[in-house]
Amino acid sequence: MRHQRYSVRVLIFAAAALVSVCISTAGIAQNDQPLTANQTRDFSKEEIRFFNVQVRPILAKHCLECHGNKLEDLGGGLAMISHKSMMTGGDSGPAVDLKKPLASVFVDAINYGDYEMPPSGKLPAEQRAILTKWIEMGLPWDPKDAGKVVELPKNDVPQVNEQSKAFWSFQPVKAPEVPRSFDSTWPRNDIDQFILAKLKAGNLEPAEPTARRDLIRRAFYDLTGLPPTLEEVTAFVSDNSPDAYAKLIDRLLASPHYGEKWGRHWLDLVRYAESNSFERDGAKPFVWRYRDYVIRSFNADKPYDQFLIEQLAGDELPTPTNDSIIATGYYRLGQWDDEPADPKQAMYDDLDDILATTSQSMMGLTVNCARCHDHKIDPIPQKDYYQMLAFFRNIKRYGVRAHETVLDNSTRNIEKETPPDQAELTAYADRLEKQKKQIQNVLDIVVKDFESVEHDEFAFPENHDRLVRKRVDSKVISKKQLDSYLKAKRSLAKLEANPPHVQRVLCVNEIGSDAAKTHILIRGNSAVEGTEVQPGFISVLSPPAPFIQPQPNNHSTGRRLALARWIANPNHPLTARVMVNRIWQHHFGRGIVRSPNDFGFQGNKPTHPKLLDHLAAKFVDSGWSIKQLHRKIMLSATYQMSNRFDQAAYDKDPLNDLFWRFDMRRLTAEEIRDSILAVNGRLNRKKMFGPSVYTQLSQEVLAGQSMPGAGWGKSREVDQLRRSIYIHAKRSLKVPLLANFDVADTDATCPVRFNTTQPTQALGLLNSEFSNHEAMKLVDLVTKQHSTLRQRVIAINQRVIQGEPNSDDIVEGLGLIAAWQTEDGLDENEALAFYCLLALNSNEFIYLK
Amino acid sequence: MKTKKNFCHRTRREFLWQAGGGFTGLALAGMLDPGFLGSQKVRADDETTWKNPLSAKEPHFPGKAKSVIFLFMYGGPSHIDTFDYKPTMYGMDNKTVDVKTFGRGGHKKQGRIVEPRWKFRQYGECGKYVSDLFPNVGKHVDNIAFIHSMTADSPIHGSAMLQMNSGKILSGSPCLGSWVNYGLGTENENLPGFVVMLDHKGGPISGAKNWSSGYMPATYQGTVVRSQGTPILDLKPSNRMSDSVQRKLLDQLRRTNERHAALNEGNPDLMARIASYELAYKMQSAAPEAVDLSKETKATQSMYGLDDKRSEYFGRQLLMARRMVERGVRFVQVYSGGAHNDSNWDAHGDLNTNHELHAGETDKPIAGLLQDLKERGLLDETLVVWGGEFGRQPTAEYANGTGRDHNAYGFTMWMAGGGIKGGQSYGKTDDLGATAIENRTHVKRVHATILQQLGMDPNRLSYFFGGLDQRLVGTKGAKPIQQLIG
Repeated sequence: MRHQRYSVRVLIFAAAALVSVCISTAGIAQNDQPLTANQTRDFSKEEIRFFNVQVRPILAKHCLECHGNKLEDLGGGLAMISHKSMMTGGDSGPAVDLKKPLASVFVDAINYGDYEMPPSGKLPAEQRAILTKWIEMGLPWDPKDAGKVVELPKNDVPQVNEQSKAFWSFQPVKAPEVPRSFDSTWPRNDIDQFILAKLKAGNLEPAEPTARRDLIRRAFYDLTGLPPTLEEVTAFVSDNSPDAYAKLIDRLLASPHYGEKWGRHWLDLVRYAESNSFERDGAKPFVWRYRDYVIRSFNADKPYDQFLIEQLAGDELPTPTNDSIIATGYYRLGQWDDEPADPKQAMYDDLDDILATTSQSMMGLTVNCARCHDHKIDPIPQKDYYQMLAFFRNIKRYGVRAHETVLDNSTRNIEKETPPDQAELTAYADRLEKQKKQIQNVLDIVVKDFESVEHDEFAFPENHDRLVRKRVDSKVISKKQLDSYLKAKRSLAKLEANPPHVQRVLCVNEIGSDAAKTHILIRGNSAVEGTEVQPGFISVLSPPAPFIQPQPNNHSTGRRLALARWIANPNHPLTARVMVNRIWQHHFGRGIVRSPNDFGFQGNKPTHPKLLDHLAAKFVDSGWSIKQLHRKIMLSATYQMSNRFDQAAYDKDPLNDLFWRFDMRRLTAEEIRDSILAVNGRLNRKKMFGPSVYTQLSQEVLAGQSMPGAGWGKSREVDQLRRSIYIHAKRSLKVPLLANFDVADTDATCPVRFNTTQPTQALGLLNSEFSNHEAMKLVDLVTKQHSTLRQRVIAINQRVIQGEPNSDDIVEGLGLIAAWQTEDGLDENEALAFYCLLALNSNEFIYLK
Repeated sequence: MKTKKNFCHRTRREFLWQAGGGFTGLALAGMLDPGFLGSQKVRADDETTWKNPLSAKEPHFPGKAKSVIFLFMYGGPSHIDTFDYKPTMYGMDNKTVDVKTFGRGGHKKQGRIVEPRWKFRQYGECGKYVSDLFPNVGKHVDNIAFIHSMTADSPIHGSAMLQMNSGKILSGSPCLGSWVNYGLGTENENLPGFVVMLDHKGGPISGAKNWSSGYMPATYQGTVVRSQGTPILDLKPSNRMSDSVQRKLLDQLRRTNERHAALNEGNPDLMARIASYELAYKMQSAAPEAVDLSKETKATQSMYGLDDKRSEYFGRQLLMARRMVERGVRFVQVYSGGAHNDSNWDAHGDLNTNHELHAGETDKPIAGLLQDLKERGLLDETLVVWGGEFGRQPTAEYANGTGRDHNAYGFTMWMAGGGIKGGQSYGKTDDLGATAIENRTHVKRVHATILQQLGMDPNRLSYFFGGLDQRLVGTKGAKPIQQLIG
């Protein structure tokens, strides 16, 4: 309890001393009932005098600011304005226990026990004695205050009832009838019918199809995050066959780079990072296997329901696979304080992080808002929060303190699916033998030098190193022999940890088959447990009772599998809607519901509710195939519209709610970096998967660390040129180029990235070593391929914009290069490099039509 | 601006989702200004002028302070050896006492007293006792309000640093400087609005998390400014790019981008990006000018301790800080102490050596800053805050030596300028300085006070994220310390 007390102090302070902003109306009710109804008994004159003279001034001075009659200031729901209000109590129950006065919460609080009141400082002993006596006397009070209470507005939060259950997103998905337009040739598929119906109702026309070059660029970036080559653009533009575009989509969906693009969207949602934050910000072991799992799952078009079940409970499946175990690395991606001031509170913080991520990313619900009280806006009672938490309650914490504890709690050895061949096994055995022999050689020498007691000590392997080291001083062995001994031991340990038939993975582990109890925590405070709860689903969704099957191996409770099967159930009202909305969002720049992590009361309403349900229904019918959904969306006329501006349409619908045109978008941070490397031909596309890489960071950036360079390795150049998704995601150290262009923050689920425009982006793209270096590499490339300056300038433009440059740009570009040479003394190469820099900074490069 | 206290800012929230949904980060940043979307609606054409998200915004009410200089004593200075005078402890050295402590060494109930290692003497009209570690700062006590009853949620560096900077012991929330710029914007668009300067010995633990904008856009994150070399990352063009070369490049970039924008009407982002290059260009000259100390007189330089090797580095940073707030930078945070162990105030081993070093580096510069601000009439509008992530225990950490472990049960911070009434001490710790006993003051209340002095209501300044109206002071709010205000 010692540890927990600390946080109680703090939380209660916060709860009590401050304005409760969530409550909006106040009122004191004066109760006219006779005295005895509101007080345990009538108090004598002496008792009342004692209260008025001794107690009341203390209350007035130290308590009433937060426990008086003002509802908006009321701390912990407790008013101290009458005998009745004290007995009614607040969030923590009655303030006074008349049967066991000394066990009262009030007495505990003034003595700074679990609670600490008043928060500004403990009262002097004599005042505490008065108050204690007062409680022991039976809480006498002046009868003129009898019956005063502050009425808490019990019903100001949405309740779970028929009305709230009828909310659109809580209702089952029903495929709506597709509207049919007979007077337009525009629609290409059902999506367009839905869009057109609303456009017509708004008296708007869809924009014409976009140019072929813009379309292929759009498709390439949307599906792979990479630009097409000029050759690919030219071939597509000149291909007049009717299925040219459909074939392009199929080709891109089959590209291995598809998973790198769409896996990234998922990684944003699950706040994927590869380190723990806090002082040490230690690296997470084998976390990259989860990233690879996500990329592979997208590439394989793994059914989305299976994808969710594997992440939530891949270890509890009847037949777990290596993939499904790795998928549970999902639980290990968050921040982790390895030295928490209050371990119990920290455990609940970890669980809250998992719960918030799961409920928002998979169900579009902010269940996390019900941690301390009922959800203020959605019909999600606090009890629902703790019922959901109960599914995760038995998960072992990420670690205890040292890295070894992380390995114990959060990793497993699993058999490789493709067993090693004989040659590999033999080689492994040989390597083992070699190290053992090297160790033994030194030990043999050392043993001969032992005193008798040392032979006994030698029986314990942990003494070996010390006994060996001792022999260097006495010159029995040389320093060199010691070093080779130690090196061999390290190698041996490494070999033994990585036998050829198993791999180490980061994954979930539970404490055992019996979970600890889960209680509602009053005000979210881990030290104040309320009612016990059982695992249960979100009540407003009218769910079934969880079906929890005991696990045969007794390693876990089976609770997570029950949760997973419910979330991934075809009848779940939110899961499919939320996911199709995300797919739509990343094609059109915004979801049909603009708040993709919040489908509750405070989220945005869908601009096209029927379309959303149509897509959700088809998604489930297709066996949760994400690729089929891409195909359907991208083959629609809606997706192929141009971004042409129309003042009249703009005046009617400035936010383009109805999709009268296609919205331009800026490339994402990763797309910008990967594209720079793609256009100068240096991107290492071939190498996928595996441990992350470290790009070169300047000393200035590393200087911000307490140990410059700590936790940031050095990768070979060929690895530094890999796609951005493979760059080590360290919580306390971000790659400036990516950070400037709004890469997702990794401490919470990120459904929509920011889209900022700021001068630091310009500075980075103009002045950074990376930009200048890669611009020079682009010069090298075009210089090799083309002989005249004009050709080179054209080639630079073609590569950067993947299209034919504007003739003005070429003329002006040549003029600029000439001026740099004649007026500023640059040589042609330098001038060309700056010209490349210019091109890489252009909006044509950075924005997608 | 009219923001209702009501929980539900429906329109503003919708606004945010739209912003996040691809509308533009500028709209998002302009959310404190309800006129912004309106103006975009009317004028979202190619001629709409770009609105910098950091451009100045109206405060909730007229603030006393315009800027903050936060002197972060990283590692946790010992309050009883600096500003919290404990006369009865002298003579108690090595005595074992019963006292509850909690530091990196865990919870203890008993300890060996290390009596304060420095003498205290009285200063100013208020007669405040200050230790001999800060003889120069002592001269300014009549301008300083001390808070002796600070408490924080964690006595561990990682989480405590996060709390002092962002209000939360977990990472992921915006720092104080981010909130200030989000709420007020900057008065000088050519300079970053939230500046961080690090100790020459290194950065603090958790590095950039200490100046992160968390769930807010990167626009509001702190910019590290160096006192030597190029002040800001990527500020200096590559070697061969003279001003003339760059100007030509930017002019051509503008022509190309304008041509592109003309073909893609109705996309304000394109114009915004064009404007951002001009701002970047101006920053390239404005930032070096702001940190160029050659324009300062010898007398001023010496006032900051630039002529003393010990205090030169920190003094240079504080002089830069003054120049920056003069130029409209909202929030400057300067770290005393970096890296690990005795490179910062974390005196676990030899208290004397450690605190002599760090106080020696900072005493004269801090006094110089206060003096200089006063002389220039800037102190009234500049809030200076001094403190670490926690204080230190009255007892020894180990069997031998003078090292003290961390203490978040009670410690001292102080504020000066920016409407703070000087010459007063608020709150108390017990006779040993182990625990705050009177007017206990949580870190959040210091944050609340800072926001209030800048003209913002800490319980109204909110940002919608993760389903909640988030606040620097937490969803439950915090009251400013009214007693500190003159």
